[in-house]
Amino acid sequence: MSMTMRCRSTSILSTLRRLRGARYRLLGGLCLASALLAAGCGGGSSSQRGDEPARPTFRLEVVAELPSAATPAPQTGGSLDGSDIGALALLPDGALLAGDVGARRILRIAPGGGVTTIVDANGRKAGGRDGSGEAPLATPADLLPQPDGTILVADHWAGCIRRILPGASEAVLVGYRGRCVSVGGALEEGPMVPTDGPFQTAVMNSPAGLSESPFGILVADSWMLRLLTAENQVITLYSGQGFPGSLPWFTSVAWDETRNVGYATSVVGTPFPLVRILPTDAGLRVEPLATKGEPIRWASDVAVCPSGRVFVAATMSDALYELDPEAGELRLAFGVPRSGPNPDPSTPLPQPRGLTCAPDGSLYLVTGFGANRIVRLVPE
Amino acid sequence: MRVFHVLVVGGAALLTSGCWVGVGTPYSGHWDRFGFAHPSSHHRPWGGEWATDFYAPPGTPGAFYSSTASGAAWGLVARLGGSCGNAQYWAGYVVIVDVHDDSGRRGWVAYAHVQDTWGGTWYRPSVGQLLTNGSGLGWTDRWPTSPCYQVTNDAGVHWHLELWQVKGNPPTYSCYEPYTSGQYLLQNSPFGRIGTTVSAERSPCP
Repeated sequence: MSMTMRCRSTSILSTLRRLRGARYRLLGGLCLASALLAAGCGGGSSSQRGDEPARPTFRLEVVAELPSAATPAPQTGGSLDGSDIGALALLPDGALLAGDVGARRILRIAPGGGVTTIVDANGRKAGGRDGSGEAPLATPADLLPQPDGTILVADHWAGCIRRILPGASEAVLVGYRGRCVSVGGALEEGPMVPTDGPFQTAVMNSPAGLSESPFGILVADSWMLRLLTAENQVITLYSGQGFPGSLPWFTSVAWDETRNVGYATSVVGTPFPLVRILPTDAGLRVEPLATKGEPIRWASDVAVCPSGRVFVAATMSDALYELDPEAGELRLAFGVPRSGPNPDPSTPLPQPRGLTCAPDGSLYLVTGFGANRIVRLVPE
Repeated sequence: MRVFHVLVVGGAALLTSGCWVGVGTPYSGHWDRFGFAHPSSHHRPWGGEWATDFYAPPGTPGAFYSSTASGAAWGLVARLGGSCGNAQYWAGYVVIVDVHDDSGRRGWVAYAHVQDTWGGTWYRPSVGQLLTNGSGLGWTDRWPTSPCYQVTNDAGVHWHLELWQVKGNPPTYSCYEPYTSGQYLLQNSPFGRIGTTVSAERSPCP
């Protein structure tokens, strides 16, 4: 859920280094990489066979840890009630935005380390003024800062994209006929049949990923990839409803300025975990991105770095991959892919999410099973 | 309004009388198998009035069932979503079904952690689709363990069931049949009612 346009600040690294000593327990500089790599857990080339291309190597630094809920008990089937950070974005001033889908709020982690709430669980800005969105913030699944200072928020369960304006007031960009819906009760108006057209009449389903593109804002919206045009129109570029097998579920989209192409990930592995969005004379075309190399399941997040390197997080596989778009090859970049449905407690990158690339090519993401550890992977 | 009902636990069709709609279990399985998900306290992520987990092995097909005294009840798929608020966790679909009878829309039932494909076969509930008794919803499956789906073996595989009803004035709420945790129920056993006169959330049916 990232792209190069959102992370152009040159001061990001220096400001994030200053995050130490904040109100929350910040562990910037406490590098776990050496221990992980020594244990053979990282993406180090020492584990490579001689005839394979060298995997990228990263140094892992823990940037911050936010309070999370207690360790989950088995078989409860429940959700944690505490923080669950699902999205990260970098601001031009070096601050880090975090979408907390567990506590239903958006946090700003200042360069100096202070953590403040921009929008809280009740859809009110900090300080208590009501937001203008009809339904409270539900699940901020992705964040897209805009050049004018507003922040677009993909509110997954509320079925809308909100605009957080300077001063933290809210507006709805597009949703269910111009509004956000409460998770269950707002179904009173009948089935939420996805509909294209002007923002005020269009119907979104469950937007989870946002990205700028030269053609408008790309949206990963459940089984659809959609485009929000500058003319305030919603256009569905692709719908998985017409294909047999499991319905794809798109959760992330990113535009590659280097290659003038977009990518989207689907957490449901079939019919394909990755697609490519190609400009054509007739508009944008979506096609499967056949990949070779490491098999990948649960592709959930994609980020494109300014250099053109493309990374894919597989949240439910506990691993980060690098995509070679020209060769269509995926290579393990960091972590140990989960071999079964249960996580390995010692895995070095449990459930990576919120993937974002910084201008220097380092990656920021959230990791931890039931935890919210914000880490930085620095290329070596 | 007087309410008469005969609720047969054992897979027989619901036989109800009165103004409420009964909803039947989607498959045969265990009600709150481990006592972690009792409807008096289980979480309600979709804003319903009560919820529980209903357990069955992976690959068990599930279907929609509802009934009134006249037998005229049906469902409309109102929303097809992901089961987890964090979209990057994946634990199957949630299918939210509006429940209707001759008097109109009465409420909804949500089925979460639904698998839409099994063994080369797939169900694809689409938004707006009409569901009658026995209409397929999907299968149970064991999803990767995450904070959203804290299951670590096949015995924990379940669908999350959640109910809500259209409010009157004063507000009334859907209710659950007061089964014992761990009780085994056959498919289409009544498990909740929509359109009741119950006055509190998370209440057993009278």
